[in-house]
Amino acid sequence: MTNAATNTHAPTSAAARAAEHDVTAALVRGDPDALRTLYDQHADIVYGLVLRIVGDVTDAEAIVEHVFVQAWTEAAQLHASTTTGVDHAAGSVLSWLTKLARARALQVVRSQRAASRGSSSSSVLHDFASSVEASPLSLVATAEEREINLTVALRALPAPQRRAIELAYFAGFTHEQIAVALNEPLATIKTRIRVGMLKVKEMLGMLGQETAR
Amino acid sequence: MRPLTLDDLRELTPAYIMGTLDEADQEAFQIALRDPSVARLLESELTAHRVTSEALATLYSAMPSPSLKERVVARIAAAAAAPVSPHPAAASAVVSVLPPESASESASESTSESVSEIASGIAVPPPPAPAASRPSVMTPPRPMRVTPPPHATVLARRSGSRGAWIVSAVAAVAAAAAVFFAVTLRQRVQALEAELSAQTRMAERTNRRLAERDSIVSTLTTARRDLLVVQLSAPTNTPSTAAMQMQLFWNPRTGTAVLHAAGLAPLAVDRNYCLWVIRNGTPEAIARFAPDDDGERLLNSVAMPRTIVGVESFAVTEEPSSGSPQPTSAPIIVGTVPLRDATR
Repeated sequence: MTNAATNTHAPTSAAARAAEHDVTAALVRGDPDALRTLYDQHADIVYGLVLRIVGDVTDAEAIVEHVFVQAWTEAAQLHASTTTGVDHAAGSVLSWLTKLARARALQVVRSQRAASRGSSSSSVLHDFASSVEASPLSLVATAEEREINLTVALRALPAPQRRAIELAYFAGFTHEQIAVALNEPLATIKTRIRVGMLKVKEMLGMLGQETAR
Repeated sequence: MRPLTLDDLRELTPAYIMGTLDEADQEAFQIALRDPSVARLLESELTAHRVTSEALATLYSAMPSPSLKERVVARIAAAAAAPVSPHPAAASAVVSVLPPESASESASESTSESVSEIASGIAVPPPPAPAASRPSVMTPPRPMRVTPPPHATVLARRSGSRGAWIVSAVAAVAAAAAVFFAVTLRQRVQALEAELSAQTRMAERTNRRLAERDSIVSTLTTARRDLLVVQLSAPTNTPSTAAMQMQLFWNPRTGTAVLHAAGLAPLAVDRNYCLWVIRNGTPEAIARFAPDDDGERLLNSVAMPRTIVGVESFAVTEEPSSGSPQPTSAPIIVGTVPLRDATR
């Protein structure tokens, strides 16, 4: 269903896509320099995402370490995903890495929540909701043009929509958990997230965001 | 399980893409998607949320400590040196084959796995020395088991006193703990310093970007009605450069312009593009630039004449990087001041 034209993180030029393809091909051949290249190109984004989710430098580095080692051990799958993604469309290396990194990071925070007082405890959800909002990596701390555009798009959202999206994406909350954390009806949360996500997509289109990485 | 209506499915689509549906909804959603007509109806919605979701993943960037790269390289070197036996968890840990972003983690809510267990469930042996000394979540330090040194044991037996043995054992444990704590603390401080440094660099980059944007906005807005937009394109008899084009947003009030070029062919390292203004029949070099990887270039605060009087046209040529007083090659793209503006 996704295609290259709508995948904002796919390399924007044919040359960049070809270069990315070459890097993953070299990974498959077992070239360590390819992994260094991959790391230099994407470590900042992967680490930023993971740090935003787990909020701890040591945990974040451990997860990033795992992600890049997994890129090495599963280079063939990574290479294939840049050629033909799960939807029979080409994905990007960054998309593969961030998907894996986010999944790992959410697994960590969910385990931590479960280990505290039960993941559905309203006080735990409130605490996590507060920590997500008070993250040291605030929206203004972003730098690249891509991030600035995204920040603009997110800031343009009404605060309740933005908060619900952040809790879903960066804390991995289900609709029910967000409803508990924000003391709002479930249906309201579902609508806020959907409408907010669609608005962000529309605004990114208007801002001409075509991430070139 | 009640079947989901199309409206239900639309409401659940973002969470499906983000991998945050609960188990029942996840299953119901996947069942519904097996119907090709439903999948078709949801296609644009799924695509939109996937695009937004992937964009959100890139919202934050921060540089990890420099040692992380070394650790990653050390681990793959170790993996390359040792035969790798597939870890059972490896197959299930592959997220790329799953439609939603973290569907494989839905069952993890009830577990209490440590970060290290979660982060290291892969088919790569730990590195030999460097990682073993790092008290990270990837390679947690093994619990210390203190064995009294042989000579201490002998001495203790000879004296018949267990006190000396206990004292030396406690001292050994305390010393080891102190070393461990010091190493951990030092690494933590280094990591925080690296993080601070990265954040500072990012803030500086942000400030530079914002300053550039301010400059562009200033050039465009302070011109008011006098802003001139000059379009440069390839002459009709040069189809090989047809893709190249440029817009020049010229503010005569401030004598500055914003230049945006696209479709530029790559150049040799010792060559540049040069923008010329032809004024009263004489070419004057205005700006030299090279294309980026995508064949584009955006320049702000390009110094321009403060009047359009005498300005006949603009042209871009390829020149040596060191510059040249006159054009040395044929124009690649050309443009003129719009007629209605030229009469001002």
